[in-house]
Amino acid sequence: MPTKSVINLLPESAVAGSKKLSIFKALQAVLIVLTLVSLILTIGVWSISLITAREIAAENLKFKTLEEKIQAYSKKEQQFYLLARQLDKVGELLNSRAGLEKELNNTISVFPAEAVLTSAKIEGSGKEMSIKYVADNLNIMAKVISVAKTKPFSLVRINGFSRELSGQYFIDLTVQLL
Amino acid sequence: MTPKFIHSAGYHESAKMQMAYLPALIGALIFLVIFGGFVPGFNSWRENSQILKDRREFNSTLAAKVSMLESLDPTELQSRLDLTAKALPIKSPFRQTLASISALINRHKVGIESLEFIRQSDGLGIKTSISGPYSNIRSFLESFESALPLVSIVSIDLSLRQSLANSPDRTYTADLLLNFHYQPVPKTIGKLTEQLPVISADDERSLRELQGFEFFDLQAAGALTTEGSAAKLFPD
Repeated sequence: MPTKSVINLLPESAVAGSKKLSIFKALQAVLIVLTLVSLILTIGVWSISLITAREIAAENLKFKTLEEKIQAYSKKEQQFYLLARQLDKVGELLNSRAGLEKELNNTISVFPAEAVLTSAKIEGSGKEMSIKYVADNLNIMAKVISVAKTKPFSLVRINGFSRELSGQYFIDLTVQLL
Repeated sequence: MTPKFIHSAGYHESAKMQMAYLPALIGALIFLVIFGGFVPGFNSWRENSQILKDRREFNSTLAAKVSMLESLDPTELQSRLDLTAKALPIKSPFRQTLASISALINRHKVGIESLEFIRQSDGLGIKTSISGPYSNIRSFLESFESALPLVSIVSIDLSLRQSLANSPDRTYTADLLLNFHYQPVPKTIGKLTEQLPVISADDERSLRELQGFEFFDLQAAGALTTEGSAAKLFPD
């Protein structure tokens, strides 16, 4: 007897039940597969996590060894830190020094030797300098002013100019070093 | 006539359970596996990976530090530190300053007329007055600028002594304002996790420059005993 005709012989409830059963079995299979996959993934992820934890333990051991070595070199380490710190400041100081005595000497050496330097004042960045000269004649004073107006100087102002009864000339200048 | 199939009540109950409760049971199992096993496992792996990454970076820094420390020559390091400590003392350099002044006034034949210490926040200030021929004052100042500890000449006020104005050996008085620098040792130096600082090319240049500077110890100045070497900071 052909199958179709046999099914036709079955009551309707039995056919519906059979269909439900096949859907149920398929669903059951999918769920079981999903369960297995999740189980495998879970086992995998925990294994990797454990391997990583072992690597952490190895790194911790390595850290201990390195820490002990650094402890052994602690004197050297402190000295090195201090050296670097001192050198930073030393470099800063060496670069920031204005070299006032050089500026003073450079200035004085340019003015005519016949004029007598009576006073020179330089401070701060060394850009401006106040100088006083005394000379026996006006020509020397003119030379002093001329030098003060020539590079590397710029004459800022003449603070005072006088002639004493003795015939000596005095000049008080402020010059700027260019 | 269609035959009737009759099942027992137990059979129906079992089928009903299979149809309704088994998928729910398996679903609950999946839920349990995912949220009870996989998610904590994944989180644990992520945390461990981060910790491992940090540890490796940290250990790599430490390994570099150890290797650098191993390569440092202790004698050379100590001598470099001594030199920088002479240039930039760790405490106010009263004694070293006096030693320099004392040695240099003798060498350059200048007189010292007054000397006053001024308390400053960033160094030791000295206000002093020296006298002598201009050339001597100049050479004194030049030597002073290339002596240790490092000094900054803040101001120079040079004036001719009027009583000797017409003499060929003119004598000048120079009022000087000087600043000697020092830098105390900090309470904590560096951290275990920090890399060692780098001694740059500029720092090396500064060290070479300092080697050309003069240092007058207190014994040379003939006044006091030597004390305060940087070596004393770090007892063996």
